[in-house]
Amino acid sequence: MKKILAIFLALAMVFALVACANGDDAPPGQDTSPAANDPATPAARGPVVYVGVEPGSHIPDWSNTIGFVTDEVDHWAREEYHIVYFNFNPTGVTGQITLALEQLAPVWNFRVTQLTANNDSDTFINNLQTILIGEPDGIIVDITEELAVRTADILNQFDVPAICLFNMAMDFDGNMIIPSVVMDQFVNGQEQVRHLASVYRDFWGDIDASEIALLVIDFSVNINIHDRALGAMSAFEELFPGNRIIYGDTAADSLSSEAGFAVANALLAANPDVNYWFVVATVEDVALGSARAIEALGLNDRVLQTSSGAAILAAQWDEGYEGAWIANYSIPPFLYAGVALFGLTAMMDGRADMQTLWPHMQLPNDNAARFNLGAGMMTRENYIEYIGDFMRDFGVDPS
Amino acid sequence: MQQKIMRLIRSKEAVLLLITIVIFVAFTINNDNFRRMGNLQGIMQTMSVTGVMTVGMALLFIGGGIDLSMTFVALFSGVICATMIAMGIPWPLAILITLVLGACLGAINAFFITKVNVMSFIMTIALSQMLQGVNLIITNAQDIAVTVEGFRWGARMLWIFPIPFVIMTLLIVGFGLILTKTRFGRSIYMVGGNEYAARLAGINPKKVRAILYIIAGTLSSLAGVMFTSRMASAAPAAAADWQMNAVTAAILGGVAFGGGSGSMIGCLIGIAMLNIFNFGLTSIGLATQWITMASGALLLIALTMDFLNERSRKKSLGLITTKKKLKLQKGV
Amino acid sequence: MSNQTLSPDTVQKQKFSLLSLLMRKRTLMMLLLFFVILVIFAVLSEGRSLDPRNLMNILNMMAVSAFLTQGVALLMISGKLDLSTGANGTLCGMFLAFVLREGVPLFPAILLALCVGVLFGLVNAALVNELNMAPFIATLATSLIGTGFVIMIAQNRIIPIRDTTMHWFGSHMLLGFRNFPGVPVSALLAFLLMTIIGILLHMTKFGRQIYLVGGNPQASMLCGINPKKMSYILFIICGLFSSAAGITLVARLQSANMQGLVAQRFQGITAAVLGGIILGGGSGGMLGAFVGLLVLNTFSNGMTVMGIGPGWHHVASGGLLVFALSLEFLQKKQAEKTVA
Repeated sequence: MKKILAIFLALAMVFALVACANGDDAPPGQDTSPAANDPATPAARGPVVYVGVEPGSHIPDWSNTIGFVTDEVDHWAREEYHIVYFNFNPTGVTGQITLALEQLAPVWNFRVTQLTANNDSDTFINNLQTILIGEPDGIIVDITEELAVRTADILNQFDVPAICLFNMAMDFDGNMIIPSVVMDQFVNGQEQVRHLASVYRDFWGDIDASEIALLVIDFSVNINIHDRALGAMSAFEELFPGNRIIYGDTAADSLSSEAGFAVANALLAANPDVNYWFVVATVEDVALGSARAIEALGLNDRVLQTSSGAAILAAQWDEGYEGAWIANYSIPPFLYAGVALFGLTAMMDGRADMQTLWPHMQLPNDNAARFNLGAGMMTRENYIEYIGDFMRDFGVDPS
Repeated sequence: MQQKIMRLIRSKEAVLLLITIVIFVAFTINNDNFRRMGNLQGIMQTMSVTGVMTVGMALLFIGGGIDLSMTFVALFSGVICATMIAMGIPWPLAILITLVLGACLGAINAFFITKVNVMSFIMTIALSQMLQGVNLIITNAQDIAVTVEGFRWGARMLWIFPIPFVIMTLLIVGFGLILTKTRFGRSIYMVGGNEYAARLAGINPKKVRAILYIIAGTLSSLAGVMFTSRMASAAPAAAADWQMNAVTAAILGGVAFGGGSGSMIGCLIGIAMLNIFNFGLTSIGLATQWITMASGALLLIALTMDFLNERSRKKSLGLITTKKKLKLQKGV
Repeated sequence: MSNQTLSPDTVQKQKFSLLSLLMRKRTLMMLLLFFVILVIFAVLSEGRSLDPRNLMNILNMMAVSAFLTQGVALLMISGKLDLSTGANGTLCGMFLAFVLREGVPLFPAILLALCVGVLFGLVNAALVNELNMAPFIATLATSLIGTGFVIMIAQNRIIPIRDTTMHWFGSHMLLGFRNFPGVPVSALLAFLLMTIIGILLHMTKFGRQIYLVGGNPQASMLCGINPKKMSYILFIICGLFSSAAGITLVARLQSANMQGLVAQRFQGITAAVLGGIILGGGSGGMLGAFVGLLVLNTFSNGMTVMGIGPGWHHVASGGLLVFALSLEFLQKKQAEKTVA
């Protein structure tokens, strides 16, 4: 009797869950996430500085404002600056930023210390205070959304200039409070789809465009990554109206290649009637797992995948990868590190402060600049020059 | 013979198997593609990594211990293996060295837990933290890609089964036999179930547990190697939840946390149940919060079932007197 | 001595004095370790770590984990474990931010958030006592479900808190003088509560009962203590403290996010164990747990002051843990040698 009860319980639960998922009359695997149904209204993002849309056209002409590598300042006429790079959690990207900063250090006369907050907000606030008591000359922070207000408070208390990376440091009304160098995530997603739309014929010939479906692999609990997914879906709807969009989310699992594999495999196998796929895996690590799933399912010649990032895909190409993952929207860490570094140097020199840096990048209600980096697609043909050129632009030899 | 079959049908494992089949059927009814080969192979692949860890975790549970360093032992092993291959060491040798390394890490756990009497919970967490640090130092959080084609067996099939899945199955069968047929296996049950009695029987519980930690370390190492082989890339900081999945799978498979009961077959079913469940939920596009809650709910259901099962067994043995029985006894 | 009748009261008192001796020795060892760490970092950092603002920072770091630690420590002394403290705290903090946003006034909102913590503890207790689940697994399951609720309320966004009293609670300092900025209100509250709980453990009958239930469950039943009732009470208290930790966190950050306290869930248990509380139950105390917290946080702070990167930081923290826990063993070995 109890066993029958248990079986009914399990059956009931599974069907309840399935009913939940299908509640919006959407076929399995489709746009059922509530966040995905939001009209895509990212906060006003401000002007976007495009760099490197074509290889070679990297640093735009910004010779008229201060806070850039082209500033006419002798960096060796002062004592060595001590910069702290403080991040929330050590990941692949933060590791590359650290590497970039360490390579820039001997060229531009500063030394860098890297510290982390071990993935915990409380530790972040406390460590920040500890770091600032040690009186560094400047600090580059990776913050997450909720920390911006407190971070700004503490920075003002200690009067140390700072630049934020990756996330915009806004107060709760959406106004900038610390100058931030970020990537426009929505544009990121859009560009990936636009790239796929412009090159798919080179791979598949002149196929019927209505047979292409989009698989988006998101990590919805992180607002930046989620914005990429929204951008991708919006561009796809625009370019291929009426085509299927299938939404996958690794947030229930983790941000790793294992999760990417599982989600990609599950969703690709669940829809074998689709003839051609665009896969936008929002993060490189997830994309790696997804690429493996595509191989395992034998779909390499019917899938084109893009993602965001630089290191993992470049390493794969170095090892001879030739599969469905053809391009990344990439802002090389050197660009992030370089732009942040020179903005920070201007502040450390006293030539600007957090409110007056990069004035042309501020929206009317902002108290600080939002440096939105736009980038280009890194492909197998151009990736070596793409990454190398940025290093050269910032004075480091990419050998 | 008939008695044996009846016992099998009544057993805990049979119910779990039934539930797993029910879940699978439910998802297949929902979307016929669920039972297609590509999907199944994907499920088998994701099962393998956590599956191997579950074997180690289950052995420890049965013997009354726990190991929370498994995820990072696996990640660390992957990093070491990939680094060795990049240095030019032939991949079979690299794998062997990595496994030995895993055993050593397990031995470190074993030493501190059995000899120095550090709490297993804390010791394994501490080791995990140290390995996390070493990973960061070695790799600067960057993935290490592996070139050598021969090493990529993790992504290939043996007939229709992915090779990691075959390895996992062999391990389950092997350890299942050890648990049931050998004296060592029986001693594990005794050490977990009743340590005092085990000592009286002449078994050294510390030695048994030490061996289990070494086995767990080696298995975690193997899991890491399988993962690296499949991805052709070692991830030092993958935020994967492997050991918690291993714990969940072991519990779902009927391995009691306190020790003394459980079986490898149960483990296999638990691993299958968990992965089919997760795969299914993903393919129907369920929102994140529901998947997380569903996993918790599944765990609770499995545990409740276990509890009800235990109660009915105890009742039939007369070990629990219900109020009704009391009334009868009092002659009311 | 031989004329004394053995009553439950005497049994309890005798056990108590033995326990307090054990506890004191372990606590002393940890206190020594704390001072050693303090001195080493002071020397290595050329005095920077002794900057009064930095010392205040260490106390600040301990506030949230102090709440978590006391709740879990009580449970551990009675022989149980709770892994859901992080998820519980995050949920309560998120819930608080949510109801504040919906316009509920501050005091009722905080009460509601605390109720959520109580409910969580109640569910944990029910699972452990009624369904006989191992606390480890039961609290694991509830933490998963709790996290699900957090995601559901948050809808992938953060919820800001605009209430100024909350801001005050999160960052205001008291007892400042000259260079020393003072101790944060939240930390003071946490330490005050910890002291009260410590006194409760040692001076009241209830406290002694907790030790007995953990140390010798059969004897406790013979003495007429109802272990189930005790278990329920302690799980609820733990839930309350987790809730307090979560509320403190969102007050500090002035917002609630989905990550919350989850990364800290092992901190409380680690500090308690360092301070001498064994998982099996029956020994240790609040002072020990406090010193355990001191050790952990001073070390971590010292590493940050020295600018040591995340890799070595992790290695060192793990190593410290193993070392600190092996101290007792080493000391015993030493004692055996001198006896022989």
